[in-house]
Amino acid sequence: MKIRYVIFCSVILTFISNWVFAQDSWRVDSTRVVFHISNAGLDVEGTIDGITCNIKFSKNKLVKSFFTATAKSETIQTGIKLRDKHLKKVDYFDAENHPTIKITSKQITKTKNGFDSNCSITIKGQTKDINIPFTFKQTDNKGEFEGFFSLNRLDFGLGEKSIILSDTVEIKIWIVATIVTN
Amino acid sequence: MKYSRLALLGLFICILFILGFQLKPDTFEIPKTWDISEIKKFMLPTADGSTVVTTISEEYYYKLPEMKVYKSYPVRLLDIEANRKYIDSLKLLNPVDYFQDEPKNEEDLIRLGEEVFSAPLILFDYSDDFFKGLNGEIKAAEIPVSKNVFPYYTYVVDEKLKLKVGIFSCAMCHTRVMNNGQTIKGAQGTFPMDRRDGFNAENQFKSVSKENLQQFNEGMRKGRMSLQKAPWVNHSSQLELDTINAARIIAYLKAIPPGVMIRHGSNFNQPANIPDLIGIKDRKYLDFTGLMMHRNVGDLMRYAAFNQTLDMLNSYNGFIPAGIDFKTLQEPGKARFVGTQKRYSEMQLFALGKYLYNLKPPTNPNKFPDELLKKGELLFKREGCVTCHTPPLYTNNKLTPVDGFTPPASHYDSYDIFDISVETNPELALYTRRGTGYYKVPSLLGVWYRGPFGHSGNVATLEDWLDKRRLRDDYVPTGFKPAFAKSMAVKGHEFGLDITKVEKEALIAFLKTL
Repeated sequence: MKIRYVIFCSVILTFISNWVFAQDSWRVDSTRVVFHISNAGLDVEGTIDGITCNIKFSKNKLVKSFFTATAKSETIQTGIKLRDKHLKKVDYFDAENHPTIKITSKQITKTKNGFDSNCSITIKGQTKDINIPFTFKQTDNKGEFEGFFSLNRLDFGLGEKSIILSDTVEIKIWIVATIVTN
Repeated sequence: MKYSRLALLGLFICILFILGFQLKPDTFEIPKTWDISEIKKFMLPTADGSTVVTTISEEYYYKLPEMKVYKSYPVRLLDIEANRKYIDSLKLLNPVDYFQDEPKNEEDLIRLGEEVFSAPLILFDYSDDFFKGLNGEIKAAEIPVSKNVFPYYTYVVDEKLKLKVGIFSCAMCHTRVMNNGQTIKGAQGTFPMDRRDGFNAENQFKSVSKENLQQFNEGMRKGRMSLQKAPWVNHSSQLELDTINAARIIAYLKAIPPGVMIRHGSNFNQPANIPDLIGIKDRKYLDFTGLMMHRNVGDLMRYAAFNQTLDMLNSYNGFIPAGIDFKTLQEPGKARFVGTQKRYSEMQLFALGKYLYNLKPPTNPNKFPDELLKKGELLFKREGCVTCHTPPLYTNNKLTPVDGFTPPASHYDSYDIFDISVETNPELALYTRRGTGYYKVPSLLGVWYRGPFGHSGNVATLEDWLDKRRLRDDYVPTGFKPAFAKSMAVKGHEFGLDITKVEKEALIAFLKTL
């Protein structure tokens, strides 16, 4: 009787714990990272590719939700070939020595309009804390994450102070993913 | 009555004091030109990094006799009779030594600086043959001249009843004659010195006898060795100098158009664009390879001293371009290369620097609709021009490493490096005595009165520069086309090449207003 009781409790606890802590895993279908920076008063749009993501996310179970994302700095494109080449050099991304840009979430919380993720971001070997607000839409087993944040390029040694190039870079991330486990 | 006398006396004393103060000459803080510690800081190392460049010592420099700067007069292109009268009138003039007295103030200094700019390194006696020969050279080498004046040379009276012709002044290379005959001092020059030398050498060559041919060949080859050899460089452009003959040198020289020149210390078959000196005050580096830093007027004085032509006495790992057998430095004042026997005085160089700092661009005659200019400016930004050619100077004042050169780590702390090659021909920056591994980002200010464009002036106009066809091997350069080449690609700096015809028009209009 006692053993049966223990087994019953264990099953119930496992069920509850899975219900509380288990997260949806997402398989990433497509990504897009676009950044904007003002150069001589003109908006320059660029992209970064080579994205890999690991996402565990359930909107009702945020405590254990998390994500990591990496991008390849050598994939930067701004529409001008030579400028892109320059951006990979030592004075900007130093892609040879720092091939990866990485974002890791530390905490995700609910906000009025979506979610907030407290993250660490590593660019060119420099790691900083950053807040990335994002929205999440789910249709059946498909999810769309859309985040937007800005950073100061000088915090990461991306170029130097310039009279024409803005310090602030605005970055938008889209991720479309398919839920794979519950 | 007594008080009014006292007041008058007081007023008189005040006036005397004010007048005395105003008449007191300005005192100038003149940097020391040949300051070896400053020279070491301001010179960039050679591209290969292993070549030790040793300049002449302070002792040697200050043992050189000072140049005199005499009043000079224009070389007028008159008919024979009018010229005879003009020459006779000049011969009656007394010599005027401009630096006999100290300049009184800044304005005076700048005025004297202009005289230094025009002061020739070489003087020779005037003769009617010179005048006849000059007219021949103008025709043969198609030398642009202003209305009735040959602005690259001057006449100088340095002793009474004697008239000299003065050549090799700063003005000889840095004077531009526009299509309308307007002369612009300090701008990218239009005197095709190499082409003229080519025609003159060709004339001599024709009269050389068979038995003297070898000597003639060797003389011309040694001249080029002195001017351009960099013995440590193992590149075809340098190796050819070991065996080149006169005919080939002449062909190379004749191919050089106005606006570029075969610079001493550079490549013997690839000219360098003559820089516009207007606006030099704001440039951080001097020379197309950024060979020398420009931190203050002292550096400009040093640059002038080196380039007129005491750098020919430098030792490059023991190779002395103007030395005896390229090995031994002569006694001060005894070196045979033009410009190496004398030095400018400190005041002359200071005045020259002040004059150059004070050069003003000519009035821009270009007028375009506002709408077109706005569009052009937008394209200037969109196509990325603005990053290197940053307003207000329209240069970021940086050095760009060329293909084949990786800046040593220490350079990032010492120099202003914009770490991307624009993939232009790297030869001038890699395989010459002036080669630092970099090209300087040029300013686009005043681009409307300049040309040809590119490091070697391969294209004649901005329109050609923005023409994508220049990247093709079958392109026939509209500016400098090397001797023996039928066509060649003018590679690199691929900005603004993919824009539409209308956009190009707008971009060029904008550039022509800078």
